[in-house]
Amino acid sequence: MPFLFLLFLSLFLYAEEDFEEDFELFDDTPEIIISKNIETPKKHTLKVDLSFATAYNYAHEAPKQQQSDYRGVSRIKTKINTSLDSKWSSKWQSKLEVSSFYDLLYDLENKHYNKDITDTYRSELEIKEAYLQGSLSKKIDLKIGRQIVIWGKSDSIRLNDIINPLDNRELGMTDIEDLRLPVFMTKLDYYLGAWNISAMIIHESRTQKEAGIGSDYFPSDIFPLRNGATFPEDTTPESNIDNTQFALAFNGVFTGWDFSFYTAKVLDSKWHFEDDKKVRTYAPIKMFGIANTIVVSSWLLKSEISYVKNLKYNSTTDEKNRFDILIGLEYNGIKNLNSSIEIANRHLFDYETKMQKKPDLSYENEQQIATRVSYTFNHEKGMISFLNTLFTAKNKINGGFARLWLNYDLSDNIEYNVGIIDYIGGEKLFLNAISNNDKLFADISYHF
Amino acid sequence: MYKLLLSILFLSTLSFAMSVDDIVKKVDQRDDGDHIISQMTMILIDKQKNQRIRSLKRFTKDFGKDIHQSIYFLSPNDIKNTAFLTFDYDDNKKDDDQWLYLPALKKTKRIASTDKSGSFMGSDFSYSDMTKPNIKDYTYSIKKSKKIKGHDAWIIERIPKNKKVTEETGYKKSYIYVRKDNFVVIGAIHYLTDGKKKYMSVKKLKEIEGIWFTTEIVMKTTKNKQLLHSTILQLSQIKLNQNLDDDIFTIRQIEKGI
Repeated sequence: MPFLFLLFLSLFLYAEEDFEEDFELFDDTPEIIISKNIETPKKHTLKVDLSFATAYNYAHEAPKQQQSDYRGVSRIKTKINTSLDSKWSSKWQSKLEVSSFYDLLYDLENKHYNKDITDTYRSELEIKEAYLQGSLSKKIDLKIGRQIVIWGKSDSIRLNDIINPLDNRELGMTDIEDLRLPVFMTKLDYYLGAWNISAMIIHESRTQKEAGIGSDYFPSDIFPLRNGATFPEDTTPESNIDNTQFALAFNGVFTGWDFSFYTAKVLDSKWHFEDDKKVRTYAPIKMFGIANTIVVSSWLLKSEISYVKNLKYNSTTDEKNRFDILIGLEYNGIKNLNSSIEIANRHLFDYETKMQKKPDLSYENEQQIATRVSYTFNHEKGMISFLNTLFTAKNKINGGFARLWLNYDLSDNIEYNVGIIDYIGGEKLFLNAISNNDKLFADISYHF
Repeated sequence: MYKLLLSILFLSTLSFAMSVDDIVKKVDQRDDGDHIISQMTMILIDKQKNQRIRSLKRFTKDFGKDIHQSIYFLSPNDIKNTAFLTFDYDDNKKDDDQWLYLPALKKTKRIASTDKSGSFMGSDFSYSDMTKPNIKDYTYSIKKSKKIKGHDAWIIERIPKNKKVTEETGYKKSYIYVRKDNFVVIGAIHYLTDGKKKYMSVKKLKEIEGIWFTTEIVMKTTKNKQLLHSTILQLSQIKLNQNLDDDIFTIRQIEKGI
């Protein structure tokens, strides 16, 4: 009994000692010298990002005669992105962003690329976002200029997100901030309580940036043409009054959930042939959609529905309609970890089996499944991310990709990315044709 | 004379006579201002003493017992215009509403997370450190009284009442240092579920319009007595009673920026 008492006493004393020690450590907090200057907010903020990126294709085999060699280094790109944010008053502000890149790969003597490839990938200089934004009244905002508008609640699958075309030059490799292409529009927003009505008049006809024909993302043998014929470059409809596009959204934000309704008449993201296959262009489509998120504890439940009309195909003469549905789950309940899964089904009405053939490659029902996991560490200096996107139809895999990458901030100014992407082949010709584009990639950026 | 002596004796022993519940209520109910605008600077310091600096602007307004808060990142450039909006509900059965505007994605994301143990923008402060704790979620006991930096203070042990609170905050136990003269929390030691400890120390206090504000706080994270990371949080340009419009606490505003 005395032994037990002594044991209890010693445990108690030990606990108290630990407790006192902590207090001593608490008091021992030497002054920290702040070595950096603290910036103060300015009226104009100029931001310059300089980056150098490279990639290495490791899965291609040696080419046969007359075929392009896609092996080895596939990117030696230097990119400069400059943006100027100006705050003119408490109500008005503007942004001007210019981006340019040059890829030295296309100057290497031992690599031979066709004109379309060099035009697409060698260099670029373009105005990205350029707009003036302000409040006309307490309840009305105006934003005019080249801008990005994101519809829908999904992060990985586009159902309602149709306002901006995409940069599809390198599927799965484009940085998320560069993926959507800004378009010139006038956007008016009216706010009433929890609701917002957003009306857009889109003045600029802008379409996707597609992969260079003959490149590793658009191998020429996907769509072989008659002898002597060349695959036409895609043509964007003119930006004029007749081609003006319209979009309208109602967004409601409530405690624990939100809801959006969308309708638009915009250009299709998918091309079709015209003029006996001499022209590839994009037709206007009409869409209606809804999207919703609900918070349940650490879960975010997402759902989207979209009905698209007037889709043009090459294998049929009549226009088709499509019904898309998406459900998604996102979980944030584990420290520093974010994970999500999204599943969508696209259903074509009045489907004809010939639509499955080239060049439409369309299915009556096609599914897309996207899984995303990201983990931040070392006080958010680093983030490891994984993204897997798969397309399926008729219980078979059509193709997709899996990407794993690490982003790390070496300082406030310098960050790097390293990663690997694996393209998954399958039943879909286009996705199967790029299944050997697996690559290692790396880039380093400096923010001025 | 007898009554005077008794009054002096009563006043001098008041602090000892207070129960822990009274102290905790006083801390919780202490006027912390309303309609506040403040500038925040976070200096993040790693093990190698490398520093990263984040500059933020914070707007806070009480909506009854609920608190609405928006935080805008002003620098560095790579996170400039990122903004965070929180509706912190007093009712602990109701999950807080949180949105994060990410300028690189041009998108406001709703954040669904009861887990508040994660780092607030890379700092040693967690999201739970940035919000007011619900006193009903904890049991309290006074461990001792001690003079801290020339001021009498209580050292109060705070233990979560259930596993859910521990999981949400990441703290299995905390010692809270409360100044006796003004009921301001001037320090804390948090014991984390992963074996780390966090030391919070208020370096500077300022009285503005009769309300005490902490204007410099240091938070250090340690493991096995080794310093892993620390953050200095400085508050400046604190302005009270700014008659903040409700519209400031909207997605519209965080997307437009300040």
